[in-house]
Amino acid sequence: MAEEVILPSLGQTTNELTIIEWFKKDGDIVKKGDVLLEVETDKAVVPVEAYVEGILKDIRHFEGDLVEVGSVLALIMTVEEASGSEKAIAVQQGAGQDAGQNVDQKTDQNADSISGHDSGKSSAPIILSYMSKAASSPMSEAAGDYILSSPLAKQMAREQAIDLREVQGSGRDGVIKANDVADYVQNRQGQKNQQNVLNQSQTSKPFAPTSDSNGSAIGTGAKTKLSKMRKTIAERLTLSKQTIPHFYLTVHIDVSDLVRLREDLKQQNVDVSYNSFLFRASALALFKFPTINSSLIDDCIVTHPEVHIGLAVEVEDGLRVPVIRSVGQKMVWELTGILKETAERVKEGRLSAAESSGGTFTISSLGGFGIDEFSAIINPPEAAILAVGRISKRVFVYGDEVKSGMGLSLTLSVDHRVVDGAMAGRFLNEIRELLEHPHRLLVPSNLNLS
Amino acid sequence: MANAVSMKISSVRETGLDSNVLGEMFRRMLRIRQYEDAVNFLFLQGKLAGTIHQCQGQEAVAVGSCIELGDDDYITTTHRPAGHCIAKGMTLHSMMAEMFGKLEGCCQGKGGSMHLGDMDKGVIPAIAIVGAGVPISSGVALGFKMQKTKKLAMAFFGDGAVNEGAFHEGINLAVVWKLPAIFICENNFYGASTHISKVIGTETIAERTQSYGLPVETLDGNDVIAVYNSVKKAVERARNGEGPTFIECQTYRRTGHSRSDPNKYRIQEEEAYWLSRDPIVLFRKALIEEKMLSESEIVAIETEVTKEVEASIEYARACTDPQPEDALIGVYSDAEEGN
Amino acid sequence: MAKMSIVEALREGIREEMRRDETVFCLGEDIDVPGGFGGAFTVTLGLSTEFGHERILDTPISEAGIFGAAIGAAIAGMRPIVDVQYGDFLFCAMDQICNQAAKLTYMSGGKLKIPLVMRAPVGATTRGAQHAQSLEAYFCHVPGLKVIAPSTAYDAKGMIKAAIRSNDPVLIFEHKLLYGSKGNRSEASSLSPTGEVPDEDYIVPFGKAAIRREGKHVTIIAKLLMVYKALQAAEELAKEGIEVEVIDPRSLVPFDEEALFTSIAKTHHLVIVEEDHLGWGWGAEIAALVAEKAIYYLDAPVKRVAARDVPIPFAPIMENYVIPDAQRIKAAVREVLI
Repeated sequence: MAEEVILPSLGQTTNELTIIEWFKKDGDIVKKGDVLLEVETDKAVVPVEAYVEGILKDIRHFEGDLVEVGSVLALIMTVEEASGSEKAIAVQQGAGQDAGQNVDQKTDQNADSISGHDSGKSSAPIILSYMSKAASSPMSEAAGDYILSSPLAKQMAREQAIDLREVQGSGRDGVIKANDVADYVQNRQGQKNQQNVLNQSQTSKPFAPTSDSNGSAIGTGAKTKLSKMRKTIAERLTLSKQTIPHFYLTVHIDVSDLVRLREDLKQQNVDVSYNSFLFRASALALFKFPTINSSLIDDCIVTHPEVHIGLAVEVEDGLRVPVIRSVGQKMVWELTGILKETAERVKEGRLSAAESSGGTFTISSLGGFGIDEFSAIINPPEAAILAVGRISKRVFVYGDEVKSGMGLSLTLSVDHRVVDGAMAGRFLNEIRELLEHPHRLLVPSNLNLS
Repeated sequence: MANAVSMKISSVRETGLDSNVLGEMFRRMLRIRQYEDAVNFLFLQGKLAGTIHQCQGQEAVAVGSCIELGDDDYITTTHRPAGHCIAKGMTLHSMMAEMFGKLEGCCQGKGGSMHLGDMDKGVIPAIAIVGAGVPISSGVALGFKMQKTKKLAMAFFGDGAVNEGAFHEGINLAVVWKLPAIFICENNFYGASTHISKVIGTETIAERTQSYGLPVETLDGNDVIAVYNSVKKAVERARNGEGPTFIECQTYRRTGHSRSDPNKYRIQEEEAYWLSRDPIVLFRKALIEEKMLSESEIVAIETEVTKEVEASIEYARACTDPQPEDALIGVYSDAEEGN
Repeated sequence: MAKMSIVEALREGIREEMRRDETVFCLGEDIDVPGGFGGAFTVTLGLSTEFGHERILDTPISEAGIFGAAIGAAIAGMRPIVDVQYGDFLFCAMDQICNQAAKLTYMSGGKLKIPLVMRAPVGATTRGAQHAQSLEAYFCHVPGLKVIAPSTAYDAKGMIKAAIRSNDPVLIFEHKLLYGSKGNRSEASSLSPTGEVPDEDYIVPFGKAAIRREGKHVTIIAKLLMVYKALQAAEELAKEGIEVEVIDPRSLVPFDEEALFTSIAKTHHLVIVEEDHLGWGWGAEIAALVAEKAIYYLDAPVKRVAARDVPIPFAPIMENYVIPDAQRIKAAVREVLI
């Protein structure tokens, strides 16, 4: 019986995905785990792999197509089936209703295995037998560097011989969950394949393929279809501006001490980024004013127990917002490392879908572009976003005294349905207070709202 | 302090008991003494685990109370149970094996010195929480009454128990439900090391208990015949549906409270007085004086009991040690439902 | 078949067993005084009409006494059903329950049977700290006791009959807000979980959990009133696409581990809900069982929802805050899914 290649749900917010490229063509022999094609979600480019061995037949959707999740993209047949493929296809299509039911069942099973926020595709059914194995150390422990992962993820990693050090966790505190392992398996295959494709041909760069043509098209007035990512940005920001009554507060902060502290640390060979101080300060302030760390959902203000902060990052064709989890439990120097590593992965297009979701607050910085101050659009369903300008030499007036120092301007955009001005003001002043006394940001504290 | 008591005890002959029964009473008192002495010796030798609470000196209360009871009358006893167990007819073999922690022990090694008991002899496994046996005893009497039997329940407890709530609640239930119950308070004047004068405000325990509305009596607990005579009336009341009786038997333990008790808190005159009135010596003297048993018959019993105790030790040593996992059996009666 | 509330089902179960076995009898405070209310929550109301006051025995207010007496009667060959008006009063009888009833069988080397049923109403009903506790965990911790907590009328009848026939001491916890909203002793905020109860003789054996709702994303294990709160939460979460499985263990000791493990093997997420206090409790034991025996089923930490660790306050505003509700259960479910 031919197996169907289904377009999996990949944790995106829309129900349709764009096919970027097929890496296999009709008649190709495919092995389990081979990447067949790549699709673009609103968050990332994700490979779709074969989960059985066989011959690829009956490709039904092609590059550039917008395809509904759960659709059959192609079939994978046995040699016998493929040899009489015309007949086989006829049979498959004739049994359309049955096939449809199968599709549903399959997606259900996928959801089962990773329940909750499924990013689709568990490569093989996870067979668990509790206590069937002694609880031996996972590989990551052998390295002496303990990796936080869910027990189920650990079990999957053991079964599939995966080194958990290589897996990015999407759970709270960066814990690796079952779907992260599943993602990893898929991405590992994807990257191998991508590399091969690049070696073979310079033209088929899978990531953001429209941007080159976009650049050259500006002067000519030629039409360029929006990329999936641009379309998503357009939709989300329009929605945000249309539905969320924004209001804005700006503070100018004397960050001379912060600059000195950072320079001093640098002298000690500790390089700590300004963004990590901003993250830490925001997290501390969010814990103090949890209303800011909330979402308006169906007439309810849902206050989030944890602080997950997204960082708006420019990429070639748009914007990505990787989310750093449980920021309150991370120290400044940890955040520096995480932010740096995350930014690199964003630039390399290695951000998993799960890593871009679940934020409770966002920080957007244009300081690197020489911008003094600006206001940002809230990233729904969050209640606020902090726009960060550049640090520059400024004049401050203290009483009658005028002093020069290093200044920073912050603008907070707030959802007025959830937060009022006074609360937002106190929150922003808390951040100011912390940045003006930056040593407080270095004090360890185990933050937990509950 | 007890009333002045002469070296004489109540008339043996006037009980109407024949020499066989009297001989059995003497045998059981002696058994208790020798068993307890042997256990003490085994402890000193390090042969037994745990602790011991001994009753040398209190034999008359146990035997005087139990001799009228049948195997299907139930008693509750305490952390100092050996006397009651032997008086009620339990074998030294099963008790000694229990002391050695053997499977053949009366509780299969799970009870130990403070929980000796055997339902075949009507001895509920000894309850080592002070006073707790009193309401249970009332409940047994309630069950017997509901079943319309002539059986009765007897609770043994010490002077220490009478300040426990359970004592008062248990006695009260027996009175209000007119239960076939007998409450035997062994007043040996000390709750562990605390003298009774420091913990109770009345001259006797009986006078305080009387207010619950039942017949009470205070008597010389070292006079086995006095105990017997009093209990006999209580048994008749119980079997006739006339309700419970409370009997305070003043007596004295010749040992410390437990194995580790140096026994330094005694009032010297009090101790001298009671030690001079050993219940076994008094009974022996009375049996001979009233010509119910001859010296040689008594010596024969003494020799037999000595051998019996020795045999029980031999037996217990040869018994089977439990497997560690035997600890997991017997928590529930419905084995298939236990977890 | 008849529709019954839990009160009626319990009464019917007791009635049937008293007819079947004349050693069965009830004792307790105010359980059927003429003109009285038939026990604190009317479970024994009217039984004396059929069985007389010899077998429906009103007692003094004397918990240690009556529990001791019940144990003694069981030793003597009876099958007593003893109750307290409020579960909180069990503490007055703690020695009798935990040192005596639970241990006598074992101490006797298995020779002594204690066929005893102990009934205790639990749950917070705006009566303040001493008439509100949920005490299940205290007794689940004592080997030698069986502990059951029926939450439906069917189970109430089937389980009390099983308890009466058991040769071991059984504590049956009944929730005040589940008895039913009928009658003049009912509680203001009672649920009325009436259900079909067969007329014929049946028992619900111990050690078998019931799955009250099937779902694939998160397992909630909850007992007594919290079964209903969990079902409410599950209903609301279903609208968000979160499918919750609700397990009602019914029998706490013995406990149906298999049912729980089977469920989390499917859902990979566990939320434990109880009205008892959080600290060192029943929920902790469930979590520990899973940690020891089934941790590789889990894709997220276990979450417990329980009464906050304070005595139960009187004021409804505070009591509602202390006792778990559907909102807290929903929040916990969402949290384990992050």
